[in-house]
Amino acid sequence: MLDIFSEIGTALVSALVKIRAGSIIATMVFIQLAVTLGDHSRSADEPLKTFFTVVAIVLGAGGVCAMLMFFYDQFRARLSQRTLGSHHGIDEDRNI
Amino acid sequence: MPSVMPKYEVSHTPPPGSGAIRTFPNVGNVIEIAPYVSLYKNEIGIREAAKQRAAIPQSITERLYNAAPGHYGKVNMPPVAPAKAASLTALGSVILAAIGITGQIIFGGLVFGMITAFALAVLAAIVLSHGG
Repeated sequence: MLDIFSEIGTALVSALVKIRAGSIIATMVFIQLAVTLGDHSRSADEPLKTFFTVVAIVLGAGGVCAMLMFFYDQFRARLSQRTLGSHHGIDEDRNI
Repeated sequence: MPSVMPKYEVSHTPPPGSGAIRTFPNVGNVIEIAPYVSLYKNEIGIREAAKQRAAIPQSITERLYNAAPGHYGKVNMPPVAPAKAASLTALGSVILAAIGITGQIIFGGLVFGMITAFALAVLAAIVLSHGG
């Protein structure tokens, strides 16, 4: 039973790694925290309201930074693929 | 070419046909030992490289990648399969995130948001640690 779950988890992680989704999940974490704290700040008392608002803004900015890193990483991966891969051709490819 | 290359220890005999030589115009000969790692021909012999097919741990592949990320890159180094514990943790974090999001939609509040964020952070850490 545990092996089935393990296989599902392996497939899940492999798929996420393949599409390089780590940065975008990190972005989701930041945005999630920002939304949660921003929502909570509405019901908080006055001194804490400012605190939660500021923390939510900081986390939102962190989310934007993580998203930019994701786009940069994707761009760099594409560039690297073009430099090394089939775009410029592979001269030789044989088994050993 | 990378200036710093790690040393290796050969401890396994490879199955036949376990690797391939590829020549890239701007890099030179690269030995590709799919699905594990690529090595430069002049850094390690073909047979030695092939012998390591089953023996290269993730720490070595990470060091190889760090030694020359522009050359080894994401193209020639597919990710290593996650361990059983990491797979189960990833699956659990996805389930926890689903519970957190559902609870946040239905009940709202700080707690479910924090649960969702924690689960997603764990998932992000696992994916990022595997090169994603």
